[in-house]
Amino acid sequence: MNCREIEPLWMDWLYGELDPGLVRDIDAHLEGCAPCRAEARRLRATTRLLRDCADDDLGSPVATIRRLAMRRPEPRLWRAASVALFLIAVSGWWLAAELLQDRADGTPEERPKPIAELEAFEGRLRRLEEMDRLLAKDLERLDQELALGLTRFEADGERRERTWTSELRRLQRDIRTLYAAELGSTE
Amino acid sequence: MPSTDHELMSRSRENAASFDRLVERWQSRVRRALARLLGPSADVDDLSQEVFLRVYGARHRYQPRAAFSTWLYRIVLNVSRDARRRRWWHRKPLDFEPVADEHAPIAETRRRETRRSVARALDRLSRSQRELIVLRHFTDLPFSEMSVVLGAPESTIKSRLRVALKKLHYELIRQGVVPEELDT
Repeated sequence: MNCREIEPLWMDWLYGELDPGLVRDIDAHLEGCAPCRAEARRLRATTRLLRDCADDDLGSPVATIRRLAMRRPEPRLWRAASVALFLIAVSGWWLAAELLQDRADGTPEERPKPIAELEAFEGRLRRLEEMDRLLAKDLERLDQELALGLTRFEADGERRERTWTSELRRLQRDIRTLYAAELGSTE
Repeated sequence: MPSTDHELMSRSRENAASFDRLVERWQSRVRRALARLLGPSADVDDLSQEVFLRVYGARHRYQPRAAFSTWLYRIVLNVSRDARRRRWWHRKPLDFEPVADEHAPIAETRRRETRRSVARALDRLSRSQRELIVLRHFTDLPFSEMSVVLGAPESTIKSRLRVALKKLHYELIRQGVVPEELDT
């Protein structure tokens, strides 16, 4: 065995997770290789110190944990608030764009009507697609967090999260209906 | 026959005593990991409570897909990362000054000093290096579970751990805990 072959085996060797045959091979190599011997010494000295520190007695405060566990933690309201703000901002922007478009449509010196309509139609589709994409992303993230069980929501918060998820799904359905209606209007 | 962690976790949905048993079984390992991840000045009691609060809060959603420890240590890492961020935000310095205790025997004082030096050296590593060393040495997780907790292949975990140990070794030389001649 040479230095290169030992490279991927250092950690298994250090933590005693190698077959005895391989350990014998490595030990034989260490006998004749000063740099590898130094590496082995370094690793062993460091892990010995870490082992000495591993048996710290840190006491046992189990009594308070359940009492605190029964207390309801703050739900993560910022997430719901930020999604809501985003949706309000997008809707506002969309409405403003629609109003401006309506005004623009009314003036004869603007672009020819069929082109302007087509552009407005495309704009609406793009905005609906973007909203749909963002909603799908939010839903996916919420689903992942629910599946992993890593959210901070407690009993009440959990219900809120579910409500929020169904609210997002409803919005997604509405947007898809609007999208279908837009597409249907051109046929 | 003692109940498994999965059994205790699913029973804790209706039975608070099962949750107590789970806490009793894991709390010292959780606290040890937190103390090593965050240094001696960390409020280990509060943070371990936070870990178990998250476990309790997620008991209805918990699904035994992997070992309970894998899931638990992911929460421990998340709590320790949040705590580090908070500490940075509040500019709270780490307190590594040894506590003078003139009645302690010399051997004990020396041991305490060494532990503080190791904690100080660990604190000088990057977050990922510290997490690797703590998961390996203070939680008894096998490489296969470390790979799940940290989301990297086993081979990557091993090579990164070796680099982390090397860095820790040089930090310990700087602290004067490990003699320099070991490096030659």
